[in-house]
Amino acid sequence: MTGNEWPPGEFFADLRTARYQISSEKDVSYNCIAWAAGDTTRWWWPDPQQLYYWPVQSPHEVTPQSFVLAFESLGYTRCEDGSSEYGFEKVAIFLDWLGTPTHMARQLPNGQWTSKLGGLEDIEHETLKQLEGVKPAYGKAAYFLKRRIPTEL
Amino acid sequence: MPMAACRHVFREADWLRDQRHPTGSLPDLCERSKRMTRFGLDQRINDRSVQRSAAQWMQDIRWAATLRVRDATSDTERVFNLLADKWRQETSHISSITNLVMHRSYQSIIGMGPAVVPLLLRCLQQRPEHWFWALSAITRHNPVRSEDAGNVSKMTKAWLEWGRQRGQIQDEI
Repeated sequence: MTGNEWPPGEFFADLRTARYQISSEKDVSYNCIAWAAGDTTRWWWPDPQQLYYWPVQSPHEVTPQSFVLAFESLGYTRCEDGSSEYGFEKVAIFLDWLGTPTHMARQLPNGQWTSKLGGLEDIEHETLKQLEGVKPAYGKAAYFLKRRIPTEL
Repeated sequence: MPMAACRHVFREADWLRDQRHPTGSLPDLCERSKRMTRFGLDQRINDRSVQRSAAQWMQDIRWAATLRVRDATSDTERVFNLLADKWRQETSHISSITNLVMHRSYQSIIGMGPAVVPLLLRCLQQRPEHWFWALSAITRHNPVRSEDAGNVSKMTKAWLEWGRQRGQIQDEI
């Protein structure tokens, strides 16, 4: 499915005209952070009440540093931007205008991105900018991390 | 315009006006349906477009009446349903639990206190949703094992079991 058959354009102005593909069913059992980490069984969030899953290596606080630490525990390291680099996969952390994390996206081998939109579907989108913007969009992709893709022998 | 249909619209509009309104627009709906019918009667128009419009108004009235019967069994439930629907509509794309629970409608639901606990649990019986934070805030309990944190299915089961043990909900038949 492509284009304007689905309501994300309601939340993301840049998706109204851009190309994207829905790549899953709606599912509330995992969110964008879990999806970026490759987990489809849990909803990840560092809520101070600790009702949701968060890696033990990282503090339960909604800060970019906590998100970076969580993904460093998965083998990622900080990098400059979301440009495609051969042999690496990247993730991007979106922040709102207050600097609070709102969303994460994961880069696909073809250089495009995949995002889980809250409790809605996963989508594949060409650029990060398509999900950027003021509320209800996700703010701005501000932190990037990468890790080497394991090569098969 | 058939007289029987006109009388039916009047009857339904009168009945609805005497009820508590399920939505703010219902009085307007009744008035407009009456105006439409009066127009048909006054003009003695046997015009298909007028008949179609009157039929549409009757359908809208029936829909509104159905909503009232289904949703508004009590004030608390009616307000809860309105707030929950608004929360669902405006937050379905949000991953941040912080933003989900700080939404005005979600906070209003928490503000309604223990009366909404059975309603929250009933929602969880119907479909998995993020009512855990509200339940925890209102009841000051968290029956979810720490190793199940984030597992929406297990969190739902734990809260439903908690609700059954305290008589807040019954098993679905």
